[in-house]
Amino acid sequence: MQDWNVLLVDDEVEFVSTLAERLCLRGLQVRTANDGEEALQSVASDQPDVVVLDVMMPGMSGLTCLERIKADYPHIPVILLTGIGSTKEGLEGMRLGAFDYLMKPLRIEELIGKIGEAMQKRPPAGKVE
Amino acid sequence: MESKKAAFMGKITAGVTHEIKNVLAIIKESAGLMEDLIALSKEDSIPEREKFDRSLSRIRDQVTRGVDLSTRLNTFAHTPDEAISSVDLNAAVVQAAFLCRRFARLRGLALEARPGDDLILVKTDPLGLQMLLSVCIDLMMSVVPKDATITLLPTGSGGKRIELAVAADGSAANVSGEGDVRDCPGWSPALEIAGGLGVTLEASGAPPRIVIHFP
Repeated sequence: MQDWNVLLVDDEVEFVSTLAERLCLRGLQVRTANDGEEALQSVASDQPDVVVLDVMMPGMSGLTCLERIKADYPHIPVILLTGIGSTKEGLEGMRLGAFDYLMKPLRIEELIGKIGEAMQKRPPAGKVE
Repeated sequence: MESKKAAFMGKITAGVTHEIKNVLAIIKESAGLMEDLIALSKEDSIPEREKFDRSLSRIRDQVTRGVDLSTRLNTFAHTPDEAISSVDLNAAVVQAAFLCRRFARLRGLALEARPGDDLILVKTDPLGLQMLLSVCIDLMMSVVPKDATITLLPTGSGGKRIELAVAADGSAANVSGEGDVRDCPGWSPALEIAGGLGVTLEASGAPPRIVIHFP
């Protein structure tokens, strides 16, 4: 677990920063982004092992961000975070290639378990040119 | 205009419940971080550690309660999405019992939905049905004795219906009630709502009972 590099993406700054701290306490390497554009820049500059991505964000939606990540970095698993009324988006995200989705508020043990599953099933790296 | 108002209320409520859930998520993570830090600290380094643990546990429980409430409110907010839709009477009574639970508690009463396992589908106005159930619950609450439990039982066989009655336990087995719902001021409005939905109401006074019959 200590070598896992996770990118957390959510527009709720307090949520993402607190969750990042909790994941760091458990040995993960965590970076955060607060919108889709920032997330794409972060993925391009330092490919994470896993992306945890909120579905509902202002500006670029989580699903659009997911599509762009999967287009250029198909090997990076993306776990979606959904809320009330966005279960439909979670299912749509699965169709677009998300590894899975979790509902907020989430249990940290469940998130870590899901990250672990994603790491085990992660295909070999290979950027699409 | 009335349906547009209902749709507007529903849309705004759905949006706000989403925001409330985000707030609860932040509270949950913050409490979780405090739990993590306490767990990592040396045994005697935090005075009144048990009080911290208890308070954090309370925060966790209330967040769970808040999530349940906002999820159910969000479901209710989407009720006016379609003027007429296919409604499962089991889900309808569970929702009605939840929405009216507080009003019952304030009167020293309890509400108990008794959904079955099989779907009982009717084509109706979902918001209108919730209104009718709420009015019927109110009527029952005005005639049953304190500490009684009002049950909501949907049935599919022999005609689709929802029966509101008083739970028969040792103390309430011979409930005669404090009146007949048909004598209450709310009965005429209930009949009006029922007529608008195309359903019929049947009631009795000893013991108090209301049945909503669907076509």
